[in-house]
Amino acid sequence: MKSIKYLSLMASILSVVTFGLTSCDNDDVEDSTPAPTIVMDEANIEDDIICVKADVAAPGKTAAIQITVTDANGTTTKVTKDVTDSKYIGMLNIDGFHVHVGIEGKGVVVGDLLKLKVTDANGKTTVAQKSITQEEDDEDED
Amino acid sequence: MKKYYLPLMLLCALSACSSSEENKPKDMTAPEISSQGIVAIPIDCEVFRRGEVIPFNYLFTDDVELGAYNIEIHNNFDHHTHSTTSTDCTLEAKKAPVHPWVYNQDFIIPEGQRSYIARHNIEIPADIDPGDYHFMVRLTDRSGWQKLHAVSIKVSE
Repeated sequence: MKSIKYLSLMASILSVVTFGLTSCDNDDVEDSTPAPTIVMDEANIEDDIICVKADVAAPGKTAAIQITVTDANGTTTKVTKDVTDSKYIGMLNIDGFHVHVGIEGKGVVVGDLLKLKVTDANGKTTVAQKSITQEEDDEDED
Repeated sequence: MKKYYLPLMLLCALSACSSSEENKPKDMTAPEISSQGIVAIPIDCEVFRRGEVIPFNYLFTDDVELGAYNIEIHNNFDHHTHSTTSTDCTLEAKKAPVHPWVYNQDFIIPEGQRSYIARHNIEIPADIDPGDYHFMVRLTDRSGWQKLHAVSIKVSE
């Protein structure tokens, strides 16, 4: 009889410890963290570069950023650039993201699509896109 | 006594879940770049000469802890703007860059700082294109909040 009580006690201890350890998992926190948000400001052709400007918020912190240029239909990829600058990675927000993408000899034309993909540390990804325009001649164009 | 074992163990197991990270107050604000109490350099429309130094001087503050900053300088020969740049400076005519100045440097702020005066002498190469430039300061706190301060400067011959 004592051994049954002992075994029951041990089983209870094991259950409590298991419950305690598994409840420490922070999956719920990660799941509830919103995906990044992107506001595209500019995707302008300026000679042999595209000037990309955006503002990014990433409550899960930026982990990877990729810029892709495709044709207007989004079917043919013309340029891909991974942005790895330390000033843009590991951030809760990027105030004034500003990157130049070289396009010389890539056949990029006005009307192509620029896609900005931001992945956070939880693996959540957001893609924003903007039709590529020509830099305007007017002064102070942002 | 035995009847208290299980509630006690459950309490211990649950309390073990509260990590020190969770106990820290959440940082919800971006750091600040300011000129309060100092002579900030550079400021909008300031003119420097090739071969000279820019004696960078700014005050950084944060409510929890500062992290790092980046200084980047690029030409503004195409008259573009950034969200915080002044548009009041007189710009030279647009032109194509030939040998523009490009500067991009990261700096780490020592741990535990909530206020930090950043000072650097940044040498302006003597052989770069003169003209309008943007001087960008990007400050990040330890949590990952970021603030950009963009200044319009001119480099003369």
